Amino acid sequence: MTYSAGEFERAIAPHTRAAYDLARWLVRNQADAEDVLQEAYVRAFRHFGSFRGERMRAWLLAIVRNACWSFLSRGRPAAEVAFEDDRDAAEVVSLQPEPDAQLVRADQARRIQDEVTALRPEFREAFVLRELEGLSYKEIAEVTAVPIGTVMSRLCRARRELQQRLGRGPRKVSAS
Amino acid sequence: MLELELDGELDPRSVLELEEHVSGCAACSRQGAALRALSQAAREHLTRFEPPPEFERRLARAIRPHRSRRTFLGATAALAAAVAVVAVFPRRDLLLPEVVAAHARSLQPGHAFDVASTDQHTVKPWFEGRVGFAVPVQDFADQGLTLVGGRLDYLDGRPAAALVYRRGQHVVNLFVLDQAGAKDAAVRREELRGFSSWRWIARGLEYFLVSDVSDADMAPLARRIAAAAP
Repeated sequence: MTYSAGEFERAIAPHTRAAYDLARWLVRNQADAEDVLQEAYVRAFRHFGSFRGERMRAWLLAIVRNACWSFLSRGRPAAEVAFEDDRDAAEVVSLQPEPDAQLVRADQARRIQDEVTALRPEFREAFVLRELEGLSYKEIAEVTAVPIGTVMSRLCRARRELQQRLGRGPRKVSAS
Repeated sequence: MLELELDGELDPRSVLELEEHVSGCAACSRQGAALRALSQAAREHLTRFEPPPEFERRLARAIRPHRSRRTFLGATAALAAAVAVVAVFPRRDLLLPEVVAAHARSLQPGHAFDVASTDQHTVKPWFEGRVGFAVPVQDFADQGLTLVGGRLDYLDGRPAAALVYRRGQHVVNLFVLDQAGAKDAAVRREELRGFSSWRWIARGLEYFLVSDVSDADMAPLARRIAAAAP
């Protein structure tokens, strides 16, 4: 069965924003993210006829996510994947507010954007899908093609790293 | 466990058990609060990236068969192809499909306008700084064409104004493009994919009045709008 571009657009429209957000968070550079997303969009359109499931959002996000990852693995991100890999998560440092609590919190809020951007991509995608897109563990597992247990451990590590980094002073993040 | 609860992935019974434990455990209750703070900070402060309108139009073009080839050509080839197309066909022939596509898109729910207002004095200033020219905004309610809002569009590779009108149940778009230096041109009618377009150039601006309203209704309106001083 083939569908017209208009039918595809109507079906996909409710999820375009989430797809865009995910691509921007994964690829991190607007121009590249948009190129990757366009590629994914064309692919989704081509395969739309064979889409049978009900979870349109997870289906589309999985296609976008795969396109982002194949872009990231095209050389450029070797640096990115290795990024901070060795800095192992030691103990959980809580965000527990101390005397200058309010100050710390406001500062953390500003820095969270940088810190999430600096997370390793597999942690970043789990965190963004959960916190920004509100996906369940099961949906995240579907989108990222890993077992639920892996989703849980990635989310856990993402949070632990964020807690640690936000508990520390500001850091330099390379802009992309 | 704390995370499962935070993420709403814990069954109600376990939630109760967990809460009972946390209430008596300082370490867990601290970590629970910290997790909630992190989640809240993320939801409140992380950027939710929104697709810009011109990017949505780019997607729409990418899956339209007559243009999709461009997607797969390298940047250089695409540029060469674009140059060749422009060289072979007059540019005007490329504009009409773009305008009609923008009109069709505006008919989809939620895409009609960026600024909703029946007041021309609200719509006009809204365009300031968004397009590089003063947009002549007028209401023609007395002619049965009611201004309902404005929208920023992207035509011919640059920002264009779209004034949104209603006539009965029909949406009518008046697109305004900067054509500085172009000679004035009289109103003429074109048609594409079931939509009619009335187009003219006046004082360096090109206008497209697009709708599926009958010609008998639209022709006098187009002439009336073209004649109205901005």
